[in-house]
Amino acid sequence: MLSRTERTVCMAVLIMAAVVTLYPMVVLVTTALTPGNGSGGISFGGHLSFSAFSYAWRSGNFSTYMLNTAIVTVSVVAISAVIAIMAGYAIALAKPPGARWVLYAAVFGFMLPVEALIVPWYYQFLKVGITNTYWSMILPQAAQSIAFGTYWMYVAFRSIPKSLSESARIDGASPTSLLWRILVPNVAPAVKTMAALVFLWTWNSFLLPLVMVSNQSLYTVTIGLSTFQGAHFNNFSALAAGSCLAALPVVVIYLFAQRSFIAGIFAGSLVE
Amino acid sequence: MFLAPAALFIGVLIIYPLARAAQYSLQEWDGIGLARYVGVTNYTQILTDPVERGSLANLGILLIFYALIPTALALMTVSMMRRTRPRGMGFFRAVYFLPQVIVTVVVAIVWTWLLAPSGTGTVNGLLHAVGLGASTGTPWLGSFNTALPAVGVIAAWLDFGLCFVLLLPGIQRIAPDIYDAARVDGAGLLREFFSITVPMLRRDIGAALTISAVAALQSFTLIYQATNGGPGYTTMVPGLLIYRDAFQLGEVGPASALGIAMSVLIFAITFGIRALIERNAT
Repeated sequence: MLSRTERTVCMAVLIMAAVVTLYPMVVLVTTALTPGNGSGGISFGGHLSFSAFSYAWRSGNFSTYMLNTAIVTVSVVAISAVIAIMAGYAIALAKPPGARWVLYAAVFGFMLPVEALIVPWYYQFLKVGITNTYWSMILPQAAQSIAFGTYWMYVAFRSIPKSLSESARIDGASPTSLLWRILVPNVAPAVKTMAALVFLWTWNSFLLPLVMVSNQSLYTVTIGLSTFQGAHFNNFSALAAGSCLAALPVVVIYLFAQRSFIAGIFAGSLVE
Repeated sequence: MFLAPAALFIGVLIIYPLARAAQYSLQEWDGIGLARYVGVTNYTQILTDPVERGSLANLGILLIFYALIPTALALMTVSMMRRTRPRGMGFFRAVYFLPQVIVTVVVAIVWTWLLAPSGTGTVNGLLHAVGLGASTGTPWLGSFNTALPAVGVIAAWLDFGLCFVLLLPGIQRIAPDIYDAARVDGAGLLREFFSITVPMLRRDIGAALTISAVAALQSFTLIYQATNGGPGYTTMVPGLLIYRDAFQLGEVGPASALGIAMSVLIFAITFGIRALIERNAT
């Protein structure tokens, strides 16, 4: 049967992999928390201090960047969740004419890379005059999230037994209350996963704000970090603190809703 | 009614822009002046222009680091876990997946520190501490020979957990009897791995390869931040080239052609891997 050696080797490998995975994150946190060394570079020991965080927050403009990212992310999550839930429901249960085509377009659109669309997005937005606005970051991100969410919610609604919506309809529920009061609570885990993924993608978004926004007061935290590294190359602690701030919201959500994230990653292989 | 907003968003912000991209891709346009129709030259240029062709070659190498290596490592790890059923499975899964939820710019920033020529706690510093290498070693991301594999290491670090999480449920689904029967027949570790684990998991392996390969195509953020395509063009990838052509050099046509080509590649990878798996299934 299993030898002790095999168990020990296995455990050692697993722990090694965990150490390698965590090491860069530990470096980031300790560098942010021990700015006292001042030598420039990764730091481990030394005085524990939050001064790098307050420097990044105030002088580094991270308060503005975080707020901008939060505005864009919350808008995208809210807009795309509502629209995708309605569309998924329509395609799975109401089946109006053309529903199939919207589904195909959604799957297709979700697979397209941002890199393929960024050029026309930019020139079209320039023409309408909405570059350098929140909208220029929200609308494209929402469109891709809706494409993903429509497919995702379609799959979720399809798995609800038909009897549920039929009995509600007999009770005289309108399509709107049927959807929001009866069906949506039944697919709550799928909604949570969709929201978590859209949150992650939007928060992480880089190319889109990089191209759309040149006004520094509209920078998202990813762009802020990138330019901060260029400007304060040697202020490792402040950059590390800014990085921690940027990473924190998604990490916190992950810690509380790990299952939601993990349930969503299979979507990428999709198209059953 | 319920469908209209989604259809509007997808139509106006995805399908229509894609059609415009296709149109730009057949033009020579600097983004300001008049556009001129040039046929498919922007597409043929992808294969003839040394920088564009080079970016595709780099992408090919990055695919190994983004997809093949993490999938292989994850496959070995989950097989080991299946045999020994260690404690703390949930903990390991949560930790390995963590890089996937760290903002990519942050990942790039911390790895540029780790891969610096010298310093406490850097890769070179750690190598020096255990007696391998001088106190000031290779600037991994800054030298022509090592920059691409160094970016690859970051990519492998990123995607290992993704592949691990994609393969774990699959291996837990395989009935233990199959392994027991194989052992009775005298199958060794390797035999077990290649005759049971790999074929039984082929769908999951396909999913892991597909998702991680698509991630490789969308490596813009990591590379922009870590090396910006350099030194020279050693880490240039199509995504970065699109940005540079369209927004810094005013070459909208080639950028659009490259964007369309990237999309085609994503569809080819996704459906190609699927077809391969389905064919071997029957």
